[in-house]
Amino acid sequence: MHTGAILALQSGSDLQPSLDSTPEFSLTDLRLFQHYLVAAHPHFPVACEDIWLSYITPISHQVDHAHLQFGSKYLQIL
Amino acid sequence: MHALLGLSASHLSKISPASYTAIAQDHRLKASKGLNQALSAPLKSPEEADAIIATCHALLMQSWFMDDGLSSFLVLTRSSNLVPQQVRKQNINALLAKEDLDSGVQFMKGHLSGTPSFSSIFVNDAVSSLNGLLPLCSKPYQQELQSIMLGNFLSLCHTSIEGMEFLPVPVGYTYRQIAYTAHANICKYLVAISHEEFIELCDISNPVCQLLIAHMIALHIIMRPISCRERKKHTVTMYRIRMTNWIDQIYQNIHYDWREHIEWPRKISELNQLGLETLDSYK
Repeated sequence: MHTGAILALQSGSDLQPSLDSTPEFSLTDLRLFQHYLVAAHPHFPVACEDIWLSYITPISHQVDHAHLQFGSKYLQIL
Repeated sequence: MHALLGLSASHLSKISPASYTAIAQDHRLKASKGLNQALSAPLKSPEEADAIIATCHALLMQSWFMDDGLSSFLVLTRSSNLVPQQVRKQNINALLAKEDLDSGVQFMKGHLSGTPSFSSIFVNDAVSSLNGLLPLCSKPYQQELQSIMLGNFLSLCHTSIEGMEFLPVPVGYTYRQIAYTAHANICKYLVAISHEEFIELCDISNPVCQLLIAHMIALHIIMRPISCRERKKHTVTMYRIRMTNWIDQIYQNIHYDWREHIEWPRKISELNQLGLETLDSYK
């Protein structure tokens, strides 16, 4: 099972890091992220605890930006 | 990311003097919007499927720590299992979709040794309270939930309970493994019932369902010494601070005539809020 922190995204994937320099997260968010890493990260499904820190967390910001890009494209269509 | 930060904010609010409730709600709203958006389009990659499943689980766990989190806890318990089922059906190779409730139970079989036992007096009180609900359960799905919870309560005790059939322990299982398996059956039940039954179960104007859910919450609270083994570090903070005032809210909302049936879950809630040692001394 692949749980490495370094991700090999599929070719053609929309999950690309954003180059947008506008700050989206605050210092409080940084505090929350630290707490997440130390104590609050999930462990479900059972037996998948390691996946959260090694895999889910690294892709999370990429997915958020993919969603934001999808949202902005959707608004442009409207 | 918003789901992770929201979970962290709600967790931190429960264990520290500072309140992060507003920022928790803000992140939760953004995560929910992102989740709805993602679910409305076909899945394109395993990473996207993992992100969706992860968001469901993070929002579910955040519900534990929210004073008004009961409804979303019930909905997200269902979603967190149904979404991976759909991902598996689409043959998308998402890591978080590989495990299900059955594989989780198998994994936990090796992680339950040394968990504390429950006294027959404690289990007897629980069984008496739950059996008091049976005459009120007119719908098959209510009777099924009552029966599943009864199995879980009986599995907590090593000795026979007056008037109840002693639960046989299958070969190769320990009492703790039976208890954890029985507890997982409640989650399976929430996933398996029909949409209509689920809506009725969550209806806060249905007193019988609210009483059943109050017992379910009490069961979640007392299962803490066993359930906390799901985490590598058996931290009690993750489990003691969850669902803290949900039973009180049901008690406040339910009509006076029904309140006698919620006394035992309420006692569990009070003891839990007083502290681990108080609750453990009862058990």
